Amino acid sequence: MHTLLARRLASMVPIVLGVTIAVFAVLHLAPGCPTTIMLGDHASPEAIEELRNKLGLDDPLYVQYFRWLSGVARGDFGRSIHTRQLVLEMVLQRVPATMELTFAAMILSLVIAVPVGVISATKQYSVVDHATMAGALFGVSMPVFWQGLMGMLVFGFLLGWLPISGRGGLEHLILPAITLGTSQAGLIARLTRSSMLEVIRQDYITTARSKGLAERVVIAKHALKNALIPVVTILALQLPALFGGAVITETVFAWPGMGRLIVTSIFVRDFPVVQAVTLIMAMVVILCNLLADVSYIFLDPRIRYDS
Amino acid sequence: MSRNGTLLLASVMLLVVLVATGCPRAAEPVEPPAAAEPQPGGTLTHLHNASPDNLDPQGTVMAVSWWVFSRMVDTLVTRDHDLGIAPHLAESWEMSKDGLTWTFRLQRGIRFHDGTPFNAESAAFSFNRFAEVARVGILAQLKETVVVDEYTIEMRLTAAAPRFLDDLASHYAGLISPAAVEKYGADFGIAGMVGTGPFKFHEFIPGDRVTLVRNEEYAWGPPIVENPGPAHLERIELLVIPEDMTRVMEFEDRAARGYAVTLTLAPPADVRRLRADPAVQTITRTTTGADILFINTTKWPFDDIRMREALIYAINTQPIVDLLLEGVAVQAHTFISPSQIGYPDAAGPTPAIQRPVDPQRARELFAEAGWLPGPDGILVHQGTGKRAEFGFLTPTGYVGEPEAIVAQLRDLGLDIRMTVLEPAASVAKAREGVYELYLIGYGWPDVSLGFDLFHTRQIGGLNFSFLSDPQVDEQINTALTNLDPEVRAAAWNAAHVRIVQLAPFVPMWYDMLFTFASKAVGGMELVGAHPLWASDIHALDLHYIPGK
Repeated sequence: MHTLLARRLASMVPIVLGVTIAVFAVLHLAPGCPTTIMLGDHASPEAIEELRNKLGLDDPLYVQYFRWLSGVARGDFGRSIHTRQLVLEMVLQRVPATMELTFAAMILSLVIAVPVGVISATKQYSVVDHATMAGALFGVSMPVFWQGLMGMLVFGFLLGWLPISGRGGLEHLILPAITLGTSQAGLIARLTRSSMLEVIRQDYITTARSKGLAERVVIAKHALKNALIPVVTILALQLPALFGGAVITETVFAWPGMGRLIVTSIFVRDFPVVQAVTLIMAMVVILCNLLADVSYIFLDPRIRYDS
Repeated sequence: MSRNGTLLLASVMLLVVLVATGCPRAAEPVEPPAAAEPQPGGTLTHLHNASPDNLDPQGTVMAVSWWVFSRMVDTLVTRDHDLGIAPHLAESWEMSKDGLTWTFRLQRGIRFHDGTPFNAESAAFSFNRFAEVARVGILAQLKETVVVDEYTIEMRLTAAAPRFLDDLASHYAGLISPAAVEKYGADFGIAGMVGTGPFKFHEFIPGDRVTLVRNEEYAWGPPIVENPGPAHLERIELLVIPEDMTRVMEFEDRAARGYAVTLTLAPPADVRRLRADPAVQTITRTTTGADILFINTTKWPFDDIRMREALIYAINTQPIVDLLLEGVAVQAHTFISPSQIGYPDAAGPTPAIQRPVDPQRARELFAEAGWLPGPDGILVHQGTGKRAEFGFLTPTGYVGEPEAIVAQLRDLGLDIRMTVLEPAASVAKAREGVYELYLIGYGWPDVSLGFDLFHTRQIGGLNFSFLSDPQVDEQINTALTNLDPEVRAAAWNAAHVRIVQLAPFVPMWYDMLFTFASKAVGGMELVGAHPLWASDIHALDLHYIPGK
C-alpha cells in the first residue's frame, strides 16, 4: 500500500512536468500576444515591444519556462499579466466556487443515479427500467450548454423559483449543480444498473437469498457493495471531467470558479494564470486516479497491490 | 422500452420545450417615468460580459475598467455638451507660446476618498506616475509635472501636443491618491483604488463583480451635470455575466422585479426585442469607430490599385446592413465615424467620397488588371495563369457578414478562402500580412486612431493594409502636432482624401451601441443627451425609482 502510494506520487512529477511543458508550448505557439491585448488599440509596435521586453516575453521559450518553473518551486506563481493580481491569490479565490459546484454536482448525481440504477436492475425490462434508462440516456446526451439555458429559462426566468446566475446561497447552487450533474448521473445510473445486473446473478447472492434474507438486505448489503466497485472507479475518473464540465457550466451561469478563470485567461493570453490552473488540474486528475486505485482496497479486500 | 414509456418520456420532453419556448412571461404594464425629484438611495446594477482587469486608471486600457474607475476619479478638465473643454479639478490653465509647458491652477477644498488633500503635490504625483506606467496611449508627450505652489502645477512636454487638453479630459488621466498607491503597492487597482470621484471603491472580485459606494462628501461635480453631488445612488455594482443569453435573461428578470438595472452588449436579436419593449428604456449611439475590410496593399495582385478599387465597387454592404444587421448597424462610407471627435474637419464638406457599388465597373477593372473569367467562372490571371483565390481573415463574433462578403465576391469570380480566428489570434495573424483581406472593427473617441490605421509607423501594429505613403504620413503628423487648429483641420482632410484615393480598405458599417435600462433607473434621459454618452459624469444624475 505504502509502496503504491510512494510510487504513484513519484510518478506525478514527470507527468505534471510534461503537462506544463505541453501547455506552455501550445499557449506560446498560438497566435496572439498578451501585450497587444493589454495595451489596446492605440498602442504602437514600439510600445508593444517595450512591454514584451519588460515582461520577459521576448526571451526564448525555455528561459521563460524555467523562470516560471523555478518560481513555482519556491511557491511563487507570479502575477497575472492581465490583471497584475497574484496568480496564487486569483486561483485560491476561485477554488472554493469550483469545489462547491463540482462536489454538489457529484453528490446530486450519486443521490439520483445509484438508487435509479439499483431499481432499474432489480426491475429489469419493466416500464420503470425503460423509463429510467431512457432518462439516463437523455441526461448523458443533453449538451450542458443547452440544458443550463433551458433550466435557467424555465426555473429562473419563467417560473422565478431560482436565481438565474451568479454565486450566493444554496438557491444559487441548485441549477448549476443539476446542469453539471445530469450527464454524470446518467452515466452512473447506467453503470450501476449493469454492475448490479452482473452481481445479482452471482452465486453468493443466490446463497444469501436461500438463507432467507430479505430482498432489501440482499440488495443493500450483499449486492450493492460489490456493484459499486466500478462505479467508484468511474466516479474518481469522472471528477476531472466534472472540472472540465464546470468550464461550460460556470460560463453559462456566471459562476466565478476556475473554469471561467481559465477560459478568460486563455482569451487574453494570460500565460501565468493558465499555467497555474493547468498545473492544479493535472494534479487533480492524477490524485483522482490514485484515489480510485486506493479505494479498491477498501471496497474489495481481495485486491492487494503490494503482492 | 414499452410504447407507453416512450410516449410518457416524449410528453415530458415536449412539455419542457413548450414551457421554455412557447409561453413567455406576460409583459407587465409600465407607467411612464415619474418626474418627481430624485430621492437618495438605491443600487444600480450594470450587467456586462467582461470583467475589468484592473481599476487603476493608469494600469488598464479595457473599456469595462473605464466604466468602473471613471466613477471614482475626476479629471483636471472635462467636456461640455458641445464637446468643448470645460474646467473641473483645474480652475484655469494656460499654455506657453511654444506649446511645451502647460500651467494649471487647481481647485481648493477637494479631498480624495482616503482623506488625502487634493493639491499640486498629489496632482504632480498622479501625472508623473502616468508618464512612467500608463498603458493607455494618451498624453504621450508628457515629460514631467512639477509643483509651482500648493495649488499650481506645471506640465512639461517633449513636443507640442494640440490634443493635450482632450487627453486630460479622459478619465484614464483621472487623479489618484498618492497615499493609496503607496498603501496598496502592486495591488493598487485590485485591492483598492482611491480617487476624488462621486463613488468610492468597496469591493472588486476580478471575474465576478465590482461594488462602489457613494462618496458622501462629494460636492464638486462638473458644470455639465444637474446634480453637483453627492450622487443620488447609494451603490453601483457591476456584475460580470459572460454568456449573452444569461445576461439578457438576468436583465429582464431584474427589470421585471423593479430593480435598477442596465445592460449593454446584447445580441442583435435581443436588441430588436428589447428596443420594442415598453418596459425598457433604450439609449442608442453610433459607435465611435467603424468596421473595415482591410486590403493588403503589398500583396499581389492587390498591390495594383485597380484590384483594390474593383473590390470597393464590388462589395455592397447595404443588404448586409439591412438583413443581417437590421437595426444594429448603419452603412459606413469611410474609415472614420461621424460620432468621433474631429470628424467634420477630417471628412471635409463632402464626406461620402467612396465609390458607389457597381459590379460592372468592378468586372472592367478586374479585366484591365488582367483577370478574366475561367471555365468555372473564377477569374484567371492572363499573365500567370493563376486563379483568383485569395485569403480572407476575420475574427469570431460576426454573425454571417463575412460569409455574405464571400458570396458577393464569388459572384464576381473571386474564390475567397475564409479563415475565422478568435480576436487576439486574428490580430496577430493579420499583422503577419499573410492574408489578402482582413475584416475587423475598431473604436476610439476621436479620429486619430482611424488615421493611425494607415500610417507607416503602424505597420506591424494596426496598419493591416500595410499602406505606406509619405503624403499620408506627413499629413497625419501635421494634424497631430501643429498648434494651429485650421492647419490641423486641413491636414486631417488632406490625409483622408489621400487615403480614400489609395483605396486600401472597403468601408463596411458603423455599429449601433445600445444601453438598456429598467424603468427603475431615473436620469437616463440626461445620459442620453450627452454627445459622448458620458455616463461617468451622469452617474451623479442617475437615481433609483422605487416601485417601477
